[in-house]
Amino acid sequence: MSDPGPHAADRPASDALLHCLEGLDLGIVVLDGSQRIIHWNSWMSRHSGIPRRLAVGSDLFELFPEARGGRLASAVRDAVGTGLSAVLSHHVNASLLPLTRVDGHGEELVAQSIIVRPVKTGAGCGCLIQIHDQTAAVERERKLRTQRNARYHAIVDAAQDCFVTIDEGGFIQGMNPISEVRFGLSQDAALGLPISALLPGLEDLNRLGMPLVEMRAVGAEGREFDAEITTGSWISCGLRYYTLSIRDVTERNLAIEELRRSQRMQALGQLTGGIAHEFNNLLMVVRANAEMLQDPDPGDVRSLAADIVSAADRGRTLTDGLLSFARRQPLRPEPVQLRTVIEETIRLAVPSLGASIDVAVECAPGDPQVHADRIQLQNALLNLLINARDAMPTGGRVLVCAQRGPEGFCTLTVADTGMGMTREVLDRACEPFFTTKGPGRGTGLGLSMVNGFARQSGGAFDLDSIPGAGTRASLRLPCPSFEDVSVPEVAPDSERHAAFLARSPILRILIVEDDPQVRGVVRAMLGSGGHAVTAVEDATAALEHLIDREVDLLLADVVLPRGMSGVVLSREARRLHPRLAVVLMSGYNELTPEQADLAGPAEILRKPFARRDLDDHMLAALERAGGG
Amino acid sequence: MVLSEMEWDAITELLNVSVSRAAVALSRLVGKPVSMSVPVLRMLSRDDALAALDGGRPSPLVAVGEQFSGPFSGSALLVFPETRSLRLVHAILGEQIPLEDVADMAEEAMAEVGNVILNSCLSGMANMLACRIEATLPTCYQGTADQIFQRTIRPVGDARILFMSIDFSIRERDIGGYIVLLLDLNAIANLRQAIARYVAALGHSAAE
Repeated sequence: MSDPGPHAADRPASDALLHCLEGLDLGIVVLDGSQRIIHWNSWMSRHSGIPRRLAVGSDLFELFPEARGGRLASAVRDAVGTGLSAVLSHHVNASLLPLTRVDGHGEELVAQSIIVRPVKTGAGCGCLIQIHDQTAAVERERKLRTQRNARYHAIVDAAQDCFVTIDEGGFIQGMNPISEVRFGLSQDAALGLPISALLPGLEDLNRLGMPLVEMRAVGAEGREFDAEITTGSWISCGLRYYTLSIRDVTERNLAIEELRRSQRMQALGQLTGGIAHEFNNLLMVVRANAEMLQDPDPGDVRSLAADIVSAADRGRTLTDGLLSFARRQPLRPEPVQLRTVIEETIRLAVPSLGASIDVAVECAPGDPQVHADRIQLQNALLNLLINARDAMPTGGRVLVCAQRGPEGFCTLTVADTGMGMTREVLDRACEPFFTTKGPGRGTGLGLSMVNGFARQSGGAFDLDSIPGAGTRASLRLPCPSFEDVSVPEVAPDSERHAAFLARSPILRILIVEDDPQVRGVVRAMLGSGGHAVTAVEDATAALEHLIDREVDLLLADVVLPRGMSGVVLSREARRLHPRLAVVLMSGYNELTPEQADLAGPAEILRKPFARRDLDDHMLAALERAGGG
Repeated sequence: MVLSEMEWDAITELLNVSVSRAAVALSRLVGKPVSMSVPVLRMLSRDDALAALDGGRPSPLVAVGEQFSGPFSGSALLVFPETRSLRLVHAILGEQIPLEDVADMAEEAMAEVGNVILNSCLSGMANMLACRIEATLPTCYQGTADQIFQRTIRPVGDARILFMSIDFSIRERDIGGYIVLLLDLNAIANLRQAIARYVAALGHSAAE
């Protein structure tokens, strides 16, 4: 079989070793110093189809000419010539030796890892080649990988959320199919792009550490959307990767906004009865005084007129409150003076609370402020007041209290002397849609909205109740930081006003107002100042007038009939007369940013207005137009 | 201890040839041309070599090491920043292999690439100096330069380090790494003798 060992005593041991080599489940080839095969085990015969008697004595690379010049050849050369060892992996080397294994299903190429080591062969230096069959391992790895990837792909490819993987530098390493659609970018095009191309807010990668972030995303064709992002991080080969799950929450945010608005509307609905009552009262005052003025001998005319003016002012305060309350706008936290909000809200709510409920206010000295959305705060307080009313069907007392503290916060408390809540009701009181009120009396969203508002504002909401003794609701809101504190507005300059009146220039004024009564009143107000006044009822008539006549000031209602609003009229009129001063009258609070843009420089005058308001706004408009 | 200019030139030349052989071996492995820069060679102490690898800031590295013995014994290390190592593996295995699978094969591929490059250097030196250098199978190490040196290059008083920076580019990916050869004083003495013979033989053949 082979040479006997040099010492006869070693023979049994070396025979045993040779049997071991034969029995090994790996290929063993030993080459001598001239790279000729001196050992070829039976595993090699089995997998190569070359019997030992042919192999021994041959050149390995004559048996396998395809391996000549390859990596195995240079490894053998280095081992025999220099004494170096080498590893050759099937992962890296496309093909090593053309070995096959035969099983029940046919022939299969052996995936192999080869180790080449120098070895002493008799007098010279040869090498030992070990060939490991990796076929089973490769198959197992492949299966595991497919399984693992199948699970991953089943989830990620079908997901309607975008999954984007980035490396530590913020460069995109992969994305799922829906990401390609949402961002309008193929995976190939996205690879290597900075993530800030999709999420500009991630210019600062420190934000990745946060568990949940909401930011704007730039989608397909530049369409932006609200994205809610959760981040998972993992390490591979010592490199950190982040997989971002990006959810489009635009619709959800719109729905939340709608819900907030409908909540406000609902609260308004609750107030309607009381406000109608209040309005009828003041209309009563107007009407009675005006009737007295119609008398042949009206008596003290000035006093009657003063009553009418004060009733109108009361009405305006009421509509101001309603309008600001119903306004559609996103959550905008700002420094809010608690005393003002409490007073405004109570004024709005008192008619609805009824005469049997006594409202008292306690406000800490020095006017405590909070950082919150004014309208939402008003809404929350209104909700709490109405809850207090409903808890006291036979009347009682509500104490609204504004205090400083705890540190960095102010607390607004609404306490009633009503029937209170049991532990069970109290526990569920802030759940959405939970209500103890009868059908049609409440949505069950009130307290959950108050709770949500408190949390969104960085504060907290707390309910405390003793059955039969009353309920105490505490709303804790953060105080504004120093830079947030607003500078109070400068009072209007009365000297400037007086100067304007004193000069009293004769102006050419065009009034555009569709309501004939308002048109008549405003015309009368201006005519008494000696101005040359023209009044028309719509924008078309106004433009016709402007085409061939000089006008100094346009005074137009925002809402006009026949398809052209005062806002558009303002723009068109300024095309004809670039230096035209414009005052827009509005029964609503203010223009939207888009409207303001369209209208150009114009003063907004809230109806109802006093003579002095009109003069002020006209002066400001003339100054803005450069003619004042 | 200090090599003469002549010896320095000879060893630079020798390693330059070895590195070109490594490039050929790598390009055969990858099936794409591999270009390698001329190595920049320095003789450093262990601390200086550490500092050169860290660049003043400990960062994760990957290394492939072999121990060698013969007329001059020591350790050979191929070191890459971890970030480059993945790029290297990707370049070797090809672009079509997904990121997560590359990670599975990374260690094996790194060991083999290191094996190819280190063996090219060692066999180049052995061939030119007409001696045998026996070397172990490659082992992969991960960690900071300090952690890798703890396991491969122990602080021995008189050892010097031949430190080479190499840059190469595979499939248009630029990969920069270092080859670190640790030689003890005895090994350096033997290396000088071998170089002297080599230089003499060169002179002899040039004179012919």
